[in-house]
Amino acid sequence: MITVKTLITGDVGAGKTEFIRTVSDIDPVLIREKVTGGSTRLEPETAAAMDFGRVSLDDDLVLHLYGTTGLIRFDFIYDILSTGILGCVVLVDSTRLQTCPPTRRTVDFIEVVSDSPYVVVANKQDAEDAFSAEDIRYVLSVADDVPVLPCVARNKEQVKEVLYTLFDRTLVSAN
Amino acid sequence: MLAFEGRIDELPIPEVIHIIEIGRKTGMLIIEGAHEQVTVYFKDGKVVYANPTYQRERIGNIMVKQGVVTREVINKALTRQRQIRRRNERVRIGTILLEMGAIDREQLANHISSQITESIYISMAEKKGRFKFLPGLDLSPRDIFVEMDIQDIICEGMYRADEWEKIIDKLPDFGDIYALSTNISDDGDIKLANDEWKILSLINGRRSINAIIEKARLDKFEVCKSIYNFVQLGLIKKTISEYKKVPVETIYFDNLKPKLGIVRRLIDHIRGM
Repeated sequence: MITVKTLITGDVGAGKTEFIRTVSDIDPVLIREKVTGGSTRLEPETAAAMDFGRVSLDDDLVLHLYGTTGLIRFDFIYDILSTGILGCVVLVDSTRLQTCPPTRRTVDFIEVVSDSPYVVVANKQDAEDAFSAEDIRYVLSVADDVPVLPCVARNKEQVKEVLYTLFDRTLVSAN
Repeated sequence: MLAFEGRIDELPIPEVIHIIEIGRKTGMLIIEGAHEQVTVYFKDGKVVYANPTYQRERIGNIMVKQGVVTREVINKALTRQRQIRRRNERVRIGTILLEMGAIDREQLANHISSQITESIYISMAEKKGRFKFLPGLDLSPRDIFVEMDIQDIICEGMYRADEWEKIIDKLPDFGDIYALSTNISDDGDIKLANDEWKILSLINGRRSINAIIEKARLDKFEVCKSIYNFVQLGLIKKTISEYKKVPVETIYFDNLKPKLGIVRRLIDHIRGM
């Protein structure tokens, strides 16, 4: 059996658990800690340590999705998860630009610690007050060659498109 | 000397190293074994640097684990390395840490020495594969190198290669899980060194050999040799594990090139989901 490890990251409330749940063929394994403070728009109990999802693509090819936040106190999880990943999805809550600075820190971390490619997802595009993917690119200062994809994490087609873009980028980067 | 290449089963690595050493050559020896790829750098016949091509763990992570530097320091060094790369220069992370004053020259030299030693041991354990020597080195004048007496390393490497064969014969799969034996023979006392106690304490019926190697933070050979000895002494025995039923291979970006077909399969499946 071949497993492929993918990191799904982003600030608290960016939609990592939902993203994983949308494509995972098991109920995501959630390792949670209650988050105090922050926005009232956050789900009441927020995944703060790690989520795990699994997508069986065929008899011997399995995609593992590891979701984790950019919270400083969980940096050790990054150390574990960023070793040997095939790629990384960075989720941003498009309605909360104030989450961009901590997300930028996560992007910096990915860039310096891992050579693996990443894509940025401007999530919650169905919200009325959502900023566009281009706005997110600007605020996050993401390089032009990094895709910033508009997405609603509940929408399976859009999540598939994100994963497709990531692995296509992996293929191009490795060549 | 021109570039030369050949097969490891026809010209073993110690002999290849000897040829380069007596010829006092400068260049890179790339060893592509069945399991590992190692690059050894020579200057005037002396080994000055070596590293596994697909290093499983980055030097920064190793230094953080060993408590030599903090994660914050490594991140600063990596950022500085990235800035240097933008100027089309290549400087090793160890050199940057030295320039930052995070480590001293002796710590860096010790680290490079152990990396050279480990790389040579790895390459000598390879029985099949190819090697290639490319003359000339394009080294950064800022990088630090150490000159090592290679003959001592080769002697130890040959001993280890023989021992590895015995270990692999007894422990064929590092995914196997061992537990303490319940019926230990009472023939005489068994004396264990500190490191052996540490390794024995990690054997709990849940951890695989790979996990014990990771957790012990000791030399891989020493860990495997100790586990091998515990099995021989009847102190531990293999247990049946769910994890063992399906062999799992994980594809990493760092060693992806030979496995791009898997990524194409991945993309095809996602399209069809």
